[in-house]
Amino acid sequence: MISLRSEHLGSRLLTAHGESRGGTVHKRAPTWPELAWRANVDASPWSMRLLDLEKGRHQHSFNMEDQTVGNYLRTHRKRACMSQRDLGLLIGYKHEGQVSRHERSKTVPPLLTALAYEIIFRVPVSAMFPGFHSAVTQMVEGNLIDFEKTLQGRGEKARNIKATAQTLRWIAKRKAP
Amino acid sequence: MDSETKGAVAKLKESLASTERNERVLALEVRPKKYGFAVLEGPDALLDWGIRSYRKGQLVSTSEVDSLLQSYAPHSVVIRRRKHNSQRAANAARSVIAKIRIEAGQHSAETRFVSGRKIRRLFERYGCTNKHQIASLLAEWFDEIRWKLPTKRRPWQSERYNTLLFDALATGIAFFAHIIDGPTL
Repeated sequence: MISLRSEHLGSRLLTAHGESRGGTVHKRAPTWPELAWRANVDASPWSMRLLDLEKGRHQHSFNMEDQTVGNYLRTHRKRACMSQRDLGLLIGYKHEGQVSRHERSKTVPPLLTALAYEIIFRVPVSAMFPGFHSAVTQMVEGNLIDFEKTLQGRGEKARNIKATAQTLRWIAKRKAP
Repeated sequence: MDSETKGAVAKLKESLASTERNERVLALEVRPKKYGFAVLEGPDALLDWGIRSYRKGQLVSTSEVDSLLQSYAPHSVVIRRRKHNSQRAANAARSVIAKIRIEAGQHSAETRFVSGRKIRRLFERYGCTNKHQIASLLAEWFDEIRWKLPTKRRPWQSERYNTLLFDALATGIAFFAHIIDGPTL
């Protein structure tokens, strides 16, 4: 039923912004496995500390209250008193393995599967996968800041000056509460 | 009894409502060959629950506890201190608890203990004087595990398997109740 690969979709979505405008977004968009790993990290305070140490962010104060669970898939499944196999069959998988991997945040569910989870449990995808949501939010917000700086750095004689000005206005509007 | 239980649940919920701490807690009820667990996010949200068996002296239990710690990253692991019927059972449970404590430490989770007496006292305030009444109260509160409520045990019968789950949940709730009263665990 579902054959689209999330890696392809995801990487295209994440890199399209920088490429289409010809801007030089310096950061490479992380791949889905990296995002999955980050989401896992969100659920693991100890790994988070290690990650901070690896990246040299020793000054980062670690707040336990901020930690989110990678996903609430297992919680919702258990509330429905459903087995992984039952849920897998509802979504279109033949075996329970994929559901298990999604529950443990070992793999990222494809978009269509994530939507299927949302439909089954009537919970928004962002609420179902808060770990992934926060990882993607952090990454995109960071990329947007870089992108804004890149646009602001363009000279007045740049080719698409009107489009650039419009994008900057849109970013400013987006920031406003 | 049903309306009484509902009233007790409402009172208990009200008493716990003043806590704004929605920290995640892994509550465990450890026995010599099995353990029950309940993962709570604040007193109201039950994320995961279950009962696991393990072979005496093997690390099966702790590897499963490790996966729970990894999945839910609880801030605290709460274990009920209980009296065991024999020295052998007490030693077995003690060694498992020691291993769980090490695992929890590796995941930056604090291990806290709640005495059985404190749990009993908490639920006595709401008219629950025995395990079955406590389990009934919790089943009334958490709809998702109501179907797991064991039937009342007769004096000549052994403890029901699912009682372990409700014991773990009671430990978790008692932990949140005592957060408000003060850190006297």
